[in-house]
Amino acid sequence: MSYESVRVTDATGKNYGAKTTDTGQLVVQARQSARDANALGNAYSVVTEIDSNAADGDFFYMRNTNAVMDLVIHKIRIQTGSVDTPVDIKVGCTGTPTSGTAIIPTTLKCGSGKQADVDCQYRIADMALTGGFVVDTLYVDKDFVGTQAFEWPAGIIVPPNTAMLLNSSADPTADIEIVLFFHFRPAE
Amino acid sequence: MNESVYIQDATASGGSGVKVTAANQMLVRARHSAADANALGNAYCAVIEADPNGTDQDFIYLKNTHSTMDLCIYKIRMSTGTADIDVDIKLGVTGSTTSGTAVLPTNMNAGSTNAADCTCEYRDEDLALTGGTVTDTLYIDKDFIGEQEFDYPSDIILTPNMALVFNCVAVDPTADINTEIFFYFRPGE
Repeated sequence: MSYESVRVTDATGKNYGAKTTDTGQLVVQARQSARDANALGNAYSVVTEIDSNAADGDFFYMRNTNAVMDLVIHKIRIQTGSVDTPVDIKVGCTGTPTSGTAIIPTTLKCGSGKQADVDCQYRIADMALTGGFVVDTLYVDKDFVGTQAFEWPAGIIVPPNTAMLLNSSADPTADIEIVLFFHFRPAE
Repeated sequence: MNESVYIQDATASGGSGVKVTAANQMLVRARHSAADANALGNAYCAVIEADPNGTDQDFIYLKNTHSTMDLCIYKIRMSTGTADIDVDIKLGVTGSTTSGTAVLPTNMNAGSTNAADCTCEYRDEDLALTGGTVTDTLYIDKDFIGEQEFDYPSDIILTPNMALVFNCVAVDPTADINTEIFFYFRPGE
């Protein structure tokens, strides 16, 4: 068996060469997927304040309208002030939102000029979607000091043409303040 | 038949050939972006104490003045002591700051003499920028014990020549807001 010695160099014409260490390690840059997506201008946030105004109220809806890429939710910050409110995250819901108001997510890469391929809506009442299954429940405590933050290292994946919603199982009787972070990644 | 290869160093740094373990794993040194930038002297922290002294006040301004690299914010810490406040982060603001005081971010690598290619300013009043889009709202609770930390797994990116402001939205804090902004520079893509 013959062995050939190779050097790893950039294939895009920049002629950079990869380093190795004196302990025999190839130096690589490992990017967590949200950071990688944002470098390409594919990460976004939604900032909103919604009073779902009902128990079992579907108050936030987001559908992935990208034809080929997965939408990956990696973080939510959430708080409310009057009533402890469990919030279900449901994926795979169907139907058309009732009387929703559109929200346009903002890019997390200032200067990219890109817009998220989503249909994102909220309602201060129940948007009355059907189906779906609960992948997580966020127990939002009115007495929490600060803002509760929830991260998903593996992400919550919403494939193309699939929707998710947030459903409050109690009436919060006040705004639920939400910042939701997501990115797009090629589906596998 | 497949041909085997050794991976050698492609720089003049004197690295060895890459090892493979008895468990058939190639050894790599994987650097997280921020840590990688810091190893190269490109990670910084801006420490700011400012009382916006009103509502709808732009009290912190940060602009990427590097010609080619992205400025990437990966963490913010904030606290205040007198009133609960909402702070909007607005990206893409334009215009010139009004009566700002310059802040010099410090290098997180004590062995580096690099200075951050940015304009960072604060004002105990309104810096009065225009435009921009709210990309995050930080709810700062006066009763929080310690400092609230806000991490961005995706970073918040300012491409070259882009700027942001921190805007104190609806409540006058009537006290300083203590802020640390952690950021690094990375080649733009």
